[in-house]
Amino acid sequence: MANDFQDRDDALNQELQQLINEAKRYPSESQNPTDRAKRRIALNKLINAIRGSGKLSKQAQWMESPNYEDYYHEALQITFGEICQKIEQYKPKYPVMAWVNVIFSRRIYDVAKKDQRRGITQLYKQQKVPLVLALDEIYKDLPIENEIYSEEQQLKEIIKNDPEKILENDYIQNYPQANLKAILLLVLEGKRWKDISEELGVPISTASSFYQRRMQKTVTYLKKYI
Amino acid sequence: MNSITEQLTFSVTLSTKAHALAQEYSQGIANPEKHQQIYLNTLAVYAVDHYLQCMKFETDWLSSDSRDRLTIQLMNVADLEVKNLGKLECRPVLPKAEVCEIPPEVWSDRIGYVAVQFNSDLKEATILGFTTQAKAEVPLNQLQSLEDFLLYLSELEIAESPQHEDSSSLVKIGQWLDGFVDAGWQTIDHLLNPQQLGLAFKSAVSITRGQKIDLGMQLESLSVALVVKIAAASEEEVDILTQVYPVENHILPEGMKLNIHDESGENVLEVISREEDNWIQLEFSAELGEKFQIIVTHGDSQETRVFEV
Repeated sequence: MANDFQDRDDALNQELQQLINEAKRYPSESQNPTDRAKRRIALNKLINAIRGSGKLSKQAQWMESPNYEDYYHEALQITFGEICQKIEQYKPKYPVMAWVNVIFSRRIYDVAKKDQRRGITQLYKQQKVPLVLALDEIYKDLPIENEIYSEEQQLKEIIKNDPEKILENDYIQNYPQANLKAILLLVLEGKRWKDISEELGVPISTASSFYQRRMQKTVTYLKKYI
Repeated sequence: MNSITEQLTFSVTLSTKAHALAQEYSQGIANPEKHQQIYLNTLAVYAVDHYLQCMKFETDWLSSDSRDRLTIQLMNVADLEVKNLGKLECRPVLPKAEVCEIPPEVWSDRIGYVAVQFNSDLKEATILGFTTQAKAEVPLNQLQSLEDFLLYLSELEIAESPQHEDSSSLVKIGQWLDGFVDAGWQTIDHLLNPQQLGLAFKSAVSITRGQKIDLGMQLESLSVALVVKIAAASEEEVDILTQVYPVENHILPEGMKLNIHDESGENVLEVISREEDNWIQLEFSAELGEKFQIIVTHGDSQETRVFEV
């Protein structure tokens, strides 16, 4: 059994070393785009292989911390970035995963220390919802009606009032009903371009490109009143 | 372990940090669809931002539309500015979806569209591939691979780098004084009318050459003459005078810009034409071997010339 594990570790290390050598073969400052891409593809594969290796340290010394999972993931993300930037510093006499885990341990220490200095509880007390929301939980985060005057309502009111009448008077040629104000209000309702085009009687591409071209002007105008 | 034949992807863990950002930006949006849209768009850009940073591309998320609280309410936008290359649109793909949707309001001004698929607990995002074609729906199995994506961005990166322009169109201005003038640079009496010629002063130890530059396309096109005069100041130094004149006209349009950038691309000198300017100019000196760029800008159009003394 012991030999079996050893063999698998060796195979993993060989694969990782191959990817590192592949990346190193192409200098990051090469003027040949294919070389730069090959280096990046090798690094992409290397990160995937490390992620899937099952040999990343559990960082057990931090497990007791209530924020262990956050520290772990944040540190791992920093570690991946660092590996890509520092690949030239890897020395083949050490197993790749040993090198990775040393960097990882240092980064989780940094992340945890930084967080503890800031005061662990500070961020969490203010949150009324779980921090990592699943797809079907996003709705739980919705502002409760009447509880706050939502940004969206405020925006809707400014558009409806259109203080300088800029939005109302800017419309798609020959379609006065398809003015900027009408389109903006439909967009804020969450309508899709297909519905907006049907409602206003103009083709999707006409309406959306009219809208897009005016985006900058609209944003500048509305920001004056927010 | 990933086998070699498997399609290349990149996965990013969506930690508290990513979700806190998504919550910050979707906060206050009561419409459930819009709320979810902003939440997922933020996570998608977060994932691509991390991927590009690992791949050593410089990004500028903070100045992208997807970080503007007002713009994200008015547009379904998930853009990420990649420095010098342009905007990438990061499109969220739901767990079981088979297509990547691209909303019409982001069909222009993008170098590409990246598909980012989530798992249902939103703990992980996987970057699947990309397309450069703006259309309503792209089936996931028709996306271009991440290998192609990295090659495409690497090509853009090299095409946009100043070093690249050096090799292809570097003007060796130092040799002008020895009589070797780069092709494409004419004597200015071929370029300017006699009245304008009176303005460019002449000297025995200098050489003056110019080039017609077309800015903009078709209807809005504008031609100007870029004139460069070089004079030996000392053994190691030359004085350089650059001027921009109108062609087929006597005055320059207002807002015409002339810039000098140094080797690192930093803007060192700038002049902007005012109403009724006949020409604009900048004077500076440069050492032997030094490189610089002259940039002429009008509206959205820009032309760059690279020089070595």
